[in-house]
Amino acid sequence: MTDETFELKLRLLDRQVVDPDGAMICKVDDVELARADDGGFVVTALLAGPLALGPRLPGRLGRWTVALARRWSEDPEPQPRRIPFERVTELGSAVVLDRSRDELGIARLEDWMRTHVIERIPGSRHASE
Amino acid sequence: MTRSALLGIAVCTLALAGCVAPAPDDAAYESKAASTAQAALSEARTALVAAHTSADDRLLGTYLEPVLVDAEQALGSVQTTFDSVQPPPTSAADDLRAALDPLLQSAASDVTELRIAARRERTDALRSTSSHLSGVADRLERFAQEHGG
Amino acid sequence: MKRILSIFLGVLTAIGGFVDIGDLVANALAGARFGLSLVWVTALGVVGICLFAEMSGRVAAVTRRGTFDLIRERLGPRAGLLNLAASVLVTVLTFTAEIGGVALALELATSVNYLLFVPVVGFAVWLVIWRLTFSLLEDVFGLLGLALIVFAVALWQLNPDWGGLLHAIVAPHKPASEDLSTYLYYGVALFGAAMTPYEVFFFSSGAVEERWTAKDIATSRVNVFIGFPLGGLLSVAIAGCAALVLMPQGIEVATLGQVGLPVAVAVGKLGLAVAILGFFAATFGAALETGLSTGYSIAQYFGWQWGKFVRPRRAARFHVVVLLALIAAIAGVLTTADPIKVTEYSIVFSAVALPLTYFPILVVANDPVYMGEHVNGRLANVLGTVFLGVIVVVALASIPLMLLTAAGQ
Repeated sequence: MTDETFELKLRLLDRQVVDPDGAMICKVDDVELARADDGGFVVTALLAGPLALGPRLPGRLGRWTVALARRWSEDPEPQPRRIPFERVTELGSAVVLDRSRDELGIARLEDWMRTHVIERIPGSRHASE
Repeated sequence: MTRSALLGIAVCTLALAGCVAPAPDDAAYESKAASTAQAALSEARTALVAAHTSADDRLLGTYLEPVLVDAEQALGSVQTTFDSVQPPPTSAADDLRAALDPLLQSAASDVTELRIAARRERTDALRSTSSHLSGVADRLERFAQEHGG
Repeated sequence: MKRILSIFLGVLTAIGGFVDIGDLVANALAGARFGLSLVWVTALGVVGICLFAEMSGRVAAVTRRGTFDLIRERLGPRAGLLNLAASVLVTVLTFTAEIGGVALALELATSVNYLLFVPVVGFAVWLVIWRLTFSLLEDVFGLLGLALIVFAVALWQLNPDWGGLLHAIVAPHKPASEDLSTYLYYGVALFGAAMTPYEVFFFSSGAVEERWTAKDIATSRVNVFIGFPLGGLLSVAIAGCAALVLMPQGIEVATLGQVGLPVAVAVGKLGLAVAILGFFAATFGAALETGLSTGYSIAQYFGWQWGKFVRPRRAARFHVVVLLALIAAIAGVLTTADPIKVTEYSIVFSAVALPLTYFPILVVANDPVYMGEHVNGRLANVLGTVFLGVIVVVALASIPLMLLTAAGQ
């Protein structure tokens, strides 16, 4: 999945990222590029989370998104979530990765909501009936 | 001042202008009276249809009461809204008010009586009040038609 | 045999699920004020919702992506976010109206003030979303919603001059006492009620919930093309009852009680009880749909896991969003704002937001890279484009008409 040429904006940006079982992980909020030997660009990683999406939103809204995400982060030098492009196995209507959602770890907000809200409600671990 | 602030002020001014009822002229007052009569007619007739259907044993008892309560409240607010309009200082306006106000009042008190009778399950009272309200409703209808509603 | 049964069930739930508080109120209002002279708008709206629901179902079956997933992809994060904000606002407003509608139906069944029911209704909505499977909740409330057929029975019992009714429908004639702008304003409201955007979010996300594949496209077409028009007929029956019973009396509809009154006149107590059950099922089902749709849209925009096909702990952010929307809706009803008025505004704002939803669907359904052999045919494209034009005109006209007529006063 590393040699193919494609139109970045139409085929990759803002697509849903899923694991091999179809579990939803994130959107491709931005990408990390590197200069290739032939002068073109290669995608080296998918970037996700508010620190990746924020700069693509307009004006104040974008700045606030980034500022909030930085404040909330425990990391002194917060970075967007980075998924190396080698993980990608398929570019279709979704971007499929080769690792499961649990192996990759889910977003901080999801973890926080799960442990602080959803798991405290009875029945959160059961499938619907 | 930014454009959005100006826009905000414009919107607020328009909204406020909509809230303060200016003293209308004769024609505007008449049209207000006609639409008031129409609104009151709608509520009175709703109460009547409900009461008649109930008297024919076609309406659930639980249904009758909320319908009458809603009509009663709506009539109250129709009356308050009309009374809050300052009539122009003409005898025509005074005549209009003198004709409409008693109709509104008796419609409201009839619907209240219907509601009381319904809660007490007094079918005879429902019937007698209905026939009085029916006359009031007809007069409201005529009033609305005569004044171009 | 099993397949035929499941198709039959799908059609029935599509009929029963078509009507919500917006359709109940808009049709009774329009019927009592304009007779059947606005039925053509409902018919137009039904054609539109069929067209776009089929497209979004097909897109979801082929790509397994929900509508907002694709909206962001096509419009980018900026325009996508603006679209999301507008759609969520309208959907939560509709959610508020539906919860108010459930409470009003319970008031009519018990005489207890509707506000007292609101917390209970809210809890019940949450419990159903939390515990019941998607297909169960859709089937149960869709089937119960069929109770509204009692309006068609009532219309029959009223024994109208059918030729005259038909003539009023096919050769519409604005009542002389009404302004053209008021007539058009109610037309916009009916159109918004028939085509509410949340129906498309729900329909496409539902297709993913039920794991549709390209093989299910045919079934979905049957559901849409038979179920929705029959559901539309229920809307027309509601308008017809109001036109026959309420209009001659000069009654203008402002409460849910008035909507059901013609059924009592025509059919009696039992019919009225069935109508109340129909009100309850239609509004409760739509409350579930709008609540879920809020979660679907936001989660799909941000790429979060969503859906009832996974356990709640696997879709934590989705369930939190649904819960927050529910709290907002309950708070909205508890402000004691008249739920019928909230409904009227929600359908007009729906009309404003229509192009935001329908334009991206048309674009994606046209994309051969995405859709492969299931890409839009010529007929779907021509009709879709024409309809998009209609939708844009309606959306642009709705706010000026609202200001011009003081919201139809």
